[in-house]
Amino acid sequence: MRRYLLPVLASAFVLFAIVGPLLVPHDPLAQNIVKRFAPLGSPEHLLGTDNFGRDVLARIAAGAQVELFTAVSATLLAMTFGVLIGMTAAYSRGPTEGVLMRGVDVMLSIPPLILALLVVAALGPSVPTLIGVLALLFIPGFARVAYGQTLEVRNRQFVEAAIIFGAPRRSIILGQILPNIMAPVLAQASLTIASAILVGSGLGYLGLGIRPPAPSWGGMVADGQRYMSSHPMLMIVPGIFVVSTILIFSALGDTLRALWDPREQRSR
Amino acid sequence: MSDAARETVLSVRDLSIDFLAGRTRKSIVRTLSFDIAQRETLAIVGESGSGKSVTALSLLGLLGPRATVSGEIDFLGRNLLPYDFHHLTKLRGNEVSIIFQEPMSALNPVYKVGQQLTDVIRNHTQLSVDQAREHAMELLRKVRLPTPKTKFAQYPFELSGGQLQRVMIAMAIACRPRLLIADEPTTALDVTVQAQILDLLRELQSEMGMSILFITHDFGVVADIADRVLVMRNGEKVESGTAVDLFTDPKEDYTRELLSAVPSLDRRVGNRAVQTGTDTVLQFRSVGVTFAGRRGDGIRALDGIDLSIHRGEVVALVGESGSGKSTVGNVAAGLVRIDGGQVVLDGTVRQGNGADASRHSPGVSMVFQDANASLNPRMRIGATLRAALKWARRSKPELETSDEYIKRIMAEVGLGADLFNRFPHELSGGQKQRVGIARALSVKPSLVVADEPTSALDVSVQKTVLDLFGKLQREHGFACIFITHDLSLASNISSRVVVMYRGRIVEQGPTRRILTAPSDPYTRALLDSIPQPDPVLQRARRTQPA
Amino acid sequence: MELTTYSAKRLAIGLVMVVCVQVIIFLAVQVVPGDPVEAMMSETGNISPEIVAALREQFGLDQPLPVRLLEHMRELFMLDFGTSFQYSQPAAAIIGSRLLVSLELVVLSAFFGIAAGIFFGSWSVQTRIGNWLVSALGPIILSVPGYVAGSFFVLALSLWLGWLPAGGMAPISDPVEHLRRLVLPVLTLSLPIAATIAKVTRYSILEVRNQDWVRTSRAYGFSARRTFRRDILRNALTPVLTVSALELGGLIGATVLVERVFNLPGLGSLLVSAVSVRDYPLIQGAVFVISAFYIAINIAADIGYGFLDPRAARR
Repeated sequence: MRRYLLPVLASAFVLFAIVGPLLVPHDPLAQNIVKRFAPLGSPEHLLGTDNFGRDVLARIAAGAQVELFTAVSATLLAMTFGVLIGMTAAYSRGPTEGVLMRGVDVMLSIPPLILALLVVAALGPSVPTLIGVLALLFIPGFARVAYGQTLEVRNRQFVEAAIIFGAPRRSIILGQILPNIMAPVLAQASLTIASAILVGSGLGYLGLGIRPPAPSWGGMVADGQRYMSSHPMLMIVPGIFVVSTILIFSALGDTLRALWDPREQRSR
Repeated sequence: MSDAARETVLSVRDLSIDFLAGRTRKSIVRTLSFDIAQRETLAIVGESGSGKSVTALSLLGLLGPRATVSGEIDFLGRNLLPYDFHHLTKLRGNEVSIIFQEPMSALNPVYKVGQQLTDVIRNHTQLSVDQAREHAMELLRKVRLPTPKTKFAQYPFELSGGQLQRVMIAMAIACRPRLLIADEPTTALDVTVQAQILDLLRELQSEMGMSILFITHDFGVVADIADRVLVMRNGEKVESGTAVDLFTDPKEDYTRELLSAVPSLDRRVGNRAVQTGTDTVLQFRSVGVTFAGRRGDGIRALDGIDLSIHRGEVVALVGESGSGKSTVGNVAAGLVRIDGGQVVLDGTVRQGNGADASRHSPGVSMVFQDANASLNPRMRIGATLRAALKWARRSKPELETSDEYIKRIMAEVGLGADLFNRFPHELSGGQKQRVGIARALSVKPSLVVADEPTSALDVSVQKTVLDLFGKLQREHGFACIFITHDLSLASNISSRVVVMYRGRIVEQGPTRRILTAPSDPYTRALLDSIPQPDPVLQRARRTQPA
Repeated sequence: MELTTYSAKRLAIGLVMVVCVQVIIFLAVQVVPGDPVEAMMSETGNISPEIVAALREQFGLDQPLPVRLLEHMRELFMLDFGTSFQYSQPAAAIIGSRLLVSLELVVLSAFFGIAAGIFFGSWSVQTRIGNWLVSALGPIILSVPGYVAGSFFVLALSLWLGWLPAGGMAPISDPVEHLRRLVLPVLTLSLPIAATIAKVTRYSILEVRNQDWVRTSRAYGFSARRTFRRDILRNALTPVLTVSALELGGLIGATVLVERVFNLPGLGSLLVSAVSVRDYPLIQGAVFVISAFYIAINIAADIGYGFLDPRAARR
């Protein structure tokens, strides 16, 4: 049962992101100067309040929504395009392969966070921009993995066997190759969610994620830093959420890989 | 061999080896005893899992921390057990040397060949770098490595398997060992190269007077090199004796069974009638294939191949690695694009350089060498078979695809219906190859390409799979291209033999004639290189001038 | 011989890459709605149309796109990035003054991170404690973003314990204080590198350890230590090199955050402030320097790869 621990935890985080804001009885933006700097464990504010008297738990929940939504959608986008590019390149060979993979190389030769900074600078901070940027950042990673795996799998004999027995192209790609490259792709996906949270919250920390005052975990750490000496919890609490979320999603990869392996499945 | 006065170099008593697997202890070798005298070659023979290689590695303490070795290993009066690793370090590569099965991976890929040899020499001697280099060059000449000066400064990946095995042998004899352990040293090599390596070992042995412990699964090699033989099974001794006694008068059933499973060249030569029907299934007309090389240059894999296969006939395609035999099979199956000549299959013509130069051929199916790799690891056995049928039905609508039909085919190859829902990794090697055969014949092909279908299997499994394949071929009457490196195997199954060398057909004809009166010098060399499971015959052959 | 042609080839590919990246960035900036002059105007309020036209001419914005692209590329390679809107100084000079701080951070962090990573990775396959450190602590370290780790270090080591200064830069003329102020940023940056390199080293060693030539080495009487250095670690370093190059690239991004946390006047913080006011000459100059550095690292890694693995150079 231990191997289901991580998927369950990850789902819990996703669930928290979806329903959290509905459960917390506070508006994450509502200021209340009288109640500023309420300590941890206050009866009304479980995680205290910040310098504007805003409820920290409500802000964490709202931040979770932003961080996870952007990370997961960016990853899904990057996975779709990356796998498509990688598989097409590896399966087509010839000039298509060259063009696609050199393109991936060029994209990889732009430092990731710098690329994100540039795009945000050009288009201004917003959630769709953030998703687009993060997806763009992680497409090359998926393309590389899918490319390498497809090259390896397409030369395996069971693919040759499928060709000999007259399998149409579609079922070779979708039925024979794709399932056999999914394990590393899924592992990459969970790592990418973790990295996307890392980069996304980093942009938030720089004030380039989404426009304040909308809460983001990175922005909360940056705000908390200013009151570090008197109210360290304002920085520690969102920090812990960022770290544990990243930890869970990056560890999820190995579990996903194992679950996808037929040797781990029992025969019916 | 019967010289009792000879000193005993190695004496092993009650050797037992356990391995820790997870939390359980697994016994790999049990109470094994044997002796090796000076200048003597003892061969340990057995199938995979018999414990023969583990025994060899245990002598030098190379098994790693999970193994427990008990008993007595007496080397020149010194007991090596329990291991004293300080002592072993001085012994290894010095008084006892070892050579391995895969010369390609036995040398470190990032150092030059000469460097590695020099390092070994300097590890056990006080020689200066220059002296050690000189000695290394001398050794490379001694093992008859071609162009030793150039090879000295090359990396392992730039040498062939046979050349690397020579380098390994040079390393092994660098310090004039008393005992040489040879762990399947020729298994990964071509048969002509194997013959040369065995000759070299014999020659070095008589010159340097070392003893050899030879691990192998091949009775032909045993007959060629061994003075005495020890047969192992499941970690225990089955029987031992002189090579001549064992081959002429085996005491144990298991030994007899193994010996009878060995495909022998002259026992069943040409027991099949040559098909003379004019009904041609497949015809190659001066077919050429070129593969793109590393630097844009082409490698000519096939050159002017003319070949016809008649309905219901088994043609053996024989050659060593790089001969192009597998490429012929791949061309027949439509996997490889041809760039010259034409291929006629069931009346359909494929032209070189045409748009259809590589295309699926509905009448052809294939059995692969590596059964495991040929099955999709994510598909259950039934699903694999059904998928092949469904694809084939696109051009052959009359094919049945019901589970019932699949199970019937599975029964025909000796697979129970309980395997229908299993994944490939749950099957044994022999079972997987049966699945491969079932898949090949389920689509009712007119031609089956069998690419070394038994070479990855143990010799006893090999025989049952081969017999099954032969039986099914006769019942279903498909024509067959049987690709093999083993002329003995070819003689057992085919009515016609085609010999290939470097992308060309050097000779073809009825099996009987090729085996008894080969006209091409390469065919003759190939025939002479096959070690026969008969020590007397082998010795006689050796003394004849080549 | 082959290694030279191999290296030359890598260098040429690298140059082409630099050009490609610059073209992409130039075009990306062009498609952004509104040009820099408009951006400036919104900062400074009303400016007469004549001045706008003059400014456009001064920045060459009235030229057609291909001409501007070529001119832009020529200037970049002459290290002439134009005049910063923000500081009204040549962008190249500003970048030059900030470059050293970032370079010092990157070099020190990379050195300590990679050295510690190889050490702990090797240690982890030999002892139980090392194994535990790398396999349990590694993933946790990797899950802490640089800005969180940096902030926590400041909180714990500066504010609570008072061991080290919280940030800022001291001049190199005071070497002790200069280094003291670098300890926390370098620690923050090198920890995740050490964790990654340790993980890669560990897996690489575990794989190489099972190779046949390691058995050969032991079978020919080489000591355990010599076998480890000559036949395990040496071969295991190839993937470590590849990952080190990637990590160095990531480091450039990470410095942006860490410079902000520790309030260091580096290239990263310059870029962030340039981005927030859309100071294009500064942005393009900084990105040029950063991406050239990034590509240079990758070329160096490729060439190093040729040295480590003879097969790579002959392919």
